[in-house]
Amino acid sequence: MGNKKSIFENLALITYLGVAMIVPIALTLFAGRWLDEKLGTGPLFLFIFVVIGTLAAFRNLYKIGTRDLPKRKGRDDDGS
Amino acid sequence: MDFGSRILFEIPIFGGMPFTETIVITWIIGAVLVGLSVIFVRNFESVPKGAQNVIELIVEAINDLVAQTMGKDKMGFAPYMGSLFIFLTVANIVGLIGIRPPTADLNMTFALAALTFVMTHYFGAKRKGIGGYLKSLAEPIPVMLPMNIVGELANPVSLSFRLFGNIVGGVVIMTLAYQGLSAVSGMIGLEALPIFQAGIPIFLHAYFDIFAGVLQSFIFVMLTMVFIGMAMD
Repeated sequence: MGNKKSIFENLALITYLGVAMIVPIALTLFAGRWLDEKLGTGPLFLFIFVVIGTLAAFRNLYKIGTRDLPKRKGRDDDGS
Repeated sequence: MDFGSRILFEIPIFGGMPFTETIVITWIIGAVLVGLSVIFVRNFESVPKGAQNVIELIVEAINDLVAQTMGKDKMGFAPYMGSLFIFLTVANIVGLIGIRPPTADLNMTFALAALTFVMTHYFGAKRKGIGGYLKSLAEPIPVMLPMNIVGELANPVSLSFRLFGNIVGGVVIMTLAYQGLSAVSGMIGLEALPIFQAGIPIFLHAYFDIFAGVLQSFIFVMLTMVFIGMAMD
């Protein structure tokens, strides 16, 4: 029973990976373009923001991927 | 063709306040769910029988899910998660009876995702203290601060867009399928007898309304639990 539920949990997280990756990049892309238009700084902020957004996307994937690790270690300590 | 939510009526305050289909259907779903819970919860017995068995099954399943995903120390979230799951499931499959699902409106899904966002950061700050919470944004190294902020801001956007996209995609495809099938019926001279619209959409309804609807509401609740759990651990 417990195993079946973690299948659904993992399914939910796996289908989330694609969205979790594209949204920070798209958000920072629009934010950078908007700032560049306001300040007239050419593509400067666009570059900075997209780099931040890409790294944030990887950070999101890392967080989702390693979410379960400390819990599993705790379970081993319980001896269960 | 217009797939947007229609404005049903306007209240003439603040220069005209429009009420869309989304809001009115949400009220109706809310009223039905509240009414059902009042009726079912009225006479509970220590040995369950009839409808009480079903209610206890649902409550136990939700309690188990919260205990497993968030941990035993966060059982206080179970009522919220349960309400959210039941409301979203009903809202997503309401298209079965020909009503426009309220979750096919970005305002609705973004409001729910914003609730998740506020809860994540409020309970994260409450558990860790304001200082510890702010410090957790600059972990593991202070250079990560902008990435962490962008990553956190992206969560409500991705959460709301995926629910909205799945449901509105289903609504659009169902509308097109019904129109196409009625055209096919018209081609063989059966305008009065909608033979094609009667059978074929069952499979589309099974996938887009029941399967996608229940799965997306489960994913929404699951991710809400994961985000709040992660912020508090």
